[in-house]
Amino acid sequence: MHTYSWLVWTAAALICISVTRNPLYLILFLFVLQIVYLMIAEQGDEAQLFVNPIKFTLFVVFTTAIFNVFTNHFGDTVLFTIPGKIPLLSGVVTLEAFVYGMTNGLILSGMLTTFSILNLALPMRALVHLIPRAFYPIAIITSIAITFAPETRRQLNQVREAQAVRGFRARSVKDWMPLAMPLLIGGLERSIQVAETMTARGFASANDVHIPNIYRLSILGGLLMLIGGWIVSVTSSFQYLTFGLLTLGSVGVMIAFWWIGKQTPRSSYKKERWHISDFFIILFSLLALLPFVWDIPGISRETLYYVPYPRLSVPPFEPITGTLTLGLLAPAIIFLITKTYAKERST
Amino acid sequence: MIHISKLTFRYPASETDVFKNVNLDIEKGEFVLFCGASGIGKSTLLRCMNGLVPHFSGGEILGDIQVAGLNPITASPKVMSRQVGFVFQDPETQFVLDRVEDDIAFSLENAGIPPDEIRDRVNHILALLELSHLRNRTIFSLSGGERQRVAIAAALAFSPSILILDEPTSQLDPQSAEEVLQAVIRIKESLQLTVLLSEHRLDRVLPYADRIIYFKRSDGEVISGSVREILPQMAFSPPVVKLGKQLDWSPLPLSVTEAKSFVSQYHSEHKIAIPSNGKKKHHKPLLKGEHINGGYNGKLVLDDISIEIKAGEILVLIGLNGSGKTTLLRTLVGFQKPKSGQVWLDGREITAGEPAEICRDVGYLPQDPNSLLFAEHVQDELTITLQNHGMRNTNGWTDELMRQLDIYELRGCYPRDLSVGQRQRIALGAILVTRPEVLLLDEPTRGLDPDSKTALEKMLKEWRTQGKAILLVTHDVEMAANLADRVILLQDGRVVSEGDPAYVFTQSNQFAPQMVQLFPDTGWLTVQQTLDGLEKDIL
Amino acid sequence: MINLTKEKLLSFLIYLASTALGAISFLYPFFTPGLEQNVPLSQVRAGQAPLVYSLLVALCLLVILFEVQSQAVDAKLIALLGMLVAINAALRFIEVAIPGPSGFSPIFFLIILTGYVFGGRFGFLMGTLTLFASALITGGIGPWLPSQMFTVGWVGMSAPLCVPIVRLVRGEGKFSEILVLMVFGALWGLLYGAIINLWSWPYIAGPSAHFYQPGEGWLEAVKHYSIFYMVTSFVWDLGRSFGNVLLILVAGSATLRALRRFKQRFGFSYQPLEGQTV
Repeated sequence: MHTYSWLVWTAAALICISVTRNPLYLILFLFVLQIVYLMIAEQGDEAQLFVNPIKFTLFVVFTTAIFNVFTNHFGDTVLFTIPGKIPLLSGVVTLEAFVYGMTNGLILSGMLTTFSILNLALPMRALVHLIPRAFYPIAIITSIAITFAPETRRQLNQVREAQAVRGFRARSVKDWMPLAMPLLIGGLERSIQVAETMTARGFASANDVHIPNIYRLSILGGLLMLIGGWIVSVTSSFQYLTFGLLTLGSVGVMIAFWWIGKQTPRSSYKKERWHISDFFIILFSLLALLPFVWDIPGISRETLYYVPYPRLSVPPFEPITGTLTLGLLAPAIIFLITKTYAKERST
Repeated sequence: MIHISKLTFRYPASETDVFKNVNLDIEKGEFVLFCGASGIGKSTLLRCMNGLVPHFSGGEILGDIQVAGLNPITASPKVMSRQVGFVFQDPETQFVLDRVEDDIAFSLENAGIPPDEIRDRVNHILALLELSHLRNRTIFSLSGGERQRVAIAAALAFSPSILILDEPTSQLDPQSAEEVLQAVIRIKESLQLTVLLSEHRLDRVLPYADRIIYFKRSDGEVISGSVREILPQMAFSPPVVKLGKQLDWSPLPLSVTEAKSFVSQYHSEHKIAIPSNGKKKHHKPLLKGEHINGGYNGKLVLDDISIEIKAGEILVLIGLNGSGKTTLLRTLVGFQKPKSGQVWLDGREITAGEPAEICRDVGYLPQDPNSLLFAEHVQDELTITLQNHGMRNTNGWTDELMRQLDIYELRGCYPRDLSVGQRQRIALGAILVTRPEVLLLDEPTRGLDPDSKTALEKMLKEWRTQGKAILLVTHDVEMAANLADRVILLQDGRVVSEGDPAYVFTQSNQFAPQMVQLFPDTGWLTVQQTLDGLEKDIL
Repeated sequence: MINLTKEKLLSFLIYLASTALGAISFLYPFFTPGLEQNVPLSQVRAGQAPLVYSLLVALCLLVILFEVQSQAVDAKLIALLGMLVAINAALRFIEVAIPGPSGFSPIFFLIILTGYVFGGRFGFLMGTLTLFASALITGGIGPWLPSQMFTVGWVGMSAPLCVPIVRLVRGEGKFSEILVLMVFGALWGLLYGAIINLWSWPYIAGPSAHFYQPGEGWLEAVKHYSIFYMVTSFVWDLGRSFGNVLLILVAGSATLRALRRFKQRFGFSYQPLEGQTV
């Protein structure tokens, strides 16, 4: 699957999750995300930290609920009261606060699960390739770091053994010196060799490229607009002005980067290919996104906004929205199809 | 193709010239060998050809140099990289990206070459160097020889007309070295390259070289000529050449194959029946391993190995890569616990011992002594070991040891600034300072130039006389021929052959010194033995 | 000549603007006015705010990164940074391995020292890319990353501030130099925690803190936040500070010596050394 389709999917998921506070939709999201996660986790990188997603979600939801219950004292359904004048803690502990906190947890774990899926789905190198061309020195530095980081751990073992050979045992923090210093010095020396290799292969320094002031001005202008947009958003509620300023500002900055990227003569060896499955993923992600950001006649957008205060009530639910949400399952389904197809082919 | 005239160079902050007034001409398509002791200026001169000197190194340079129609001093390494490919010594640090084909494509990407063309070139180069089946592997999963071949492939990405290799095999074992050198010879022919190769291990390349450029010691003089002209003037040459020189064979044979025609002259009935365990000197075994079975990751690496290292004796362990030599050493010292079997030190069982403890009495020099060194001064390296073991420096022992190792003058220097040979001696100091009676050395000849090797041989012989028990793991069969009292040949984790050097070497095809290849069944291992033997024969 | 000054001025302004924007993006929770309940639009905006501002921080980060890299790059620096980031990212695994709760993070040590020896831009790159590389390796990309990278970058970028102080106490090569760096490490240990917390606060607490007290001013929000901070992360941050101090104390001088020796030997100017020809 193409990197860009994953990005579209992620963006759709994040926007949907952040727009609504209705626990029913959020639980639906989490359900969808868990399925995608479990599908994708089978092909993930072993180097990554693996956390049981369901346990993790429950943990997050519960913790944030507890946190909110003890710090916000509003609502009509009182469970019990904390006496005294302890700052932050004293006050009524209500069911509404619990639900509100739980909602925070659902949103948070939804976002975290989405990112976990992204991490699993995209290999390291694909993410490095996403770095815009204007930043290619950083891309190279990151590439070198990723290449040599695993080696560093192997070097550490080698150093540890070498020091043991002269009778050294690591007993306390101070004893890490004979291990850390050869590692550092070795790394410094090796970097020179890598630099020499790069130079011998014709690596050009970025000093060659001169950036005309106009593009710097564009960046500066963009930044100022962004600052303006921020000021507007916190001092008033002119939503469209905020939105406009923020968008314009971002565009201003991006254009400068895009142009500068075009100046550096670099090409990319690996080109990703688009498949029909990418089309489907993007389509369904956008469909899922639709009811959350657009006012479609006949679909109630009110259901997205739910507040447990002051008195707890059953949250509303719009079935069409719920169905479209299932569109986020697209990657999981595609994955399932390819897996069964591959199995069939091998038998 | 390459014209150098009155070239002089000095490193920044240095008071002496690296070389002075060098004149050199190299024609297109030549295969030129650069020889001479380490640190004498070969590497520097080679780096002048693609502009690394002075652009990368700094320093002052005087004179004229033209390479493929360009002047490297005014053009930059970037421009020169299109004409000159450069391969360095270290297989661990010559790459930028971790996948083979990505690394080869790196320089092409940087130059903005269209992706389709990159694909074609990469495929072509991979095929040329027989790396196509490895294209998706990470470089760290490859062997040293494979990595160097990838480095060569990357150097050839721009289809340069000149290929320069600076000691490309010094960190490799003989199989890998062979692989790499064969690859160089092959691509030279198919790509019509001009090749400049700096090497110590001449035996494999001598037959293919057109010329030798020899850096004479100390006076900075550089002489150049055909192989057979220069060889006799060189301080170090393969045993076959030395023999030929002594016996006035003409034309001077460069390899065993060329020498064989001369050997038939000497109808030697000097065949001695070689007993399997020659003159058995009765020495006390100090370090013993009995029926050791060991391995890791479910693989059995050591299969029922028993080994004895005796006082006053040098035991040499030879075998292919992966035969278990390093694993055996590590098991003896305690870095790996054997699945079964015991290790005894002077009657005491140490099978489950801690390496830091064991290494007080067993000096172990690992393959890469760099990991040992981290102090500010050479003498600190010795005192730190003493401190680690809780021992004290009595009666100037460290000074004496430094004098023995010929590093006393360097005692205040920063160890990592010194040459490979010097650093090895410092590492030896660091492990010998506790006066161990047993010495284990794992591939000590890696990266050493001939001078340092001779010095090492001398020291080992000295320690043998002092009664130390020495186990030497090496690929260098000539050194083994010079030193070994006994030889063990390891294959697939099993002892395949053991005993008198002459016996073991004659048995094995891959590990025979040149004298054994020339005069099998005579028991002669070194040039001196051969000369003596032939003399006796003739008389 | 004139062009050069204009360029430098523009660069400076860009640094200023992007840092300002980044900083205020963190501070928005204090400024959102008390919004009325049950107004869906406000709810939406409040819910999206953390993500939007995360993106803003990411943008600022990109801008600063762009400025930093475009003036200080050649093969030697790229390779050096690559290796040091590799070492630092590998060190980060230790963070996970240390038992018990603590904010101890070994990565600050190298970031501070390299920024101190090689300059602010180097330090910024060192900090940002350590986090980026280790996020890539461990699969830890998330909404927290831009803020972390931005803040850690500033740890490295500000390290040269110690230089005039050290000069003032005439401490080059002496213990007072290490002392200055220790204080610096301790301060940033706490400051880093406070800033990162600031970012995560809205995610955990939701928009509630200032949402349900209509008319609440920013002073109230600050009070709320300080309590939040004390409860959740102060102890953690003490751990981080302490860790920094300890590392600098134990390994600082040897590391400084190694870095300085390296810098001198390989001539780290921002231009390749030219040879002189006759």
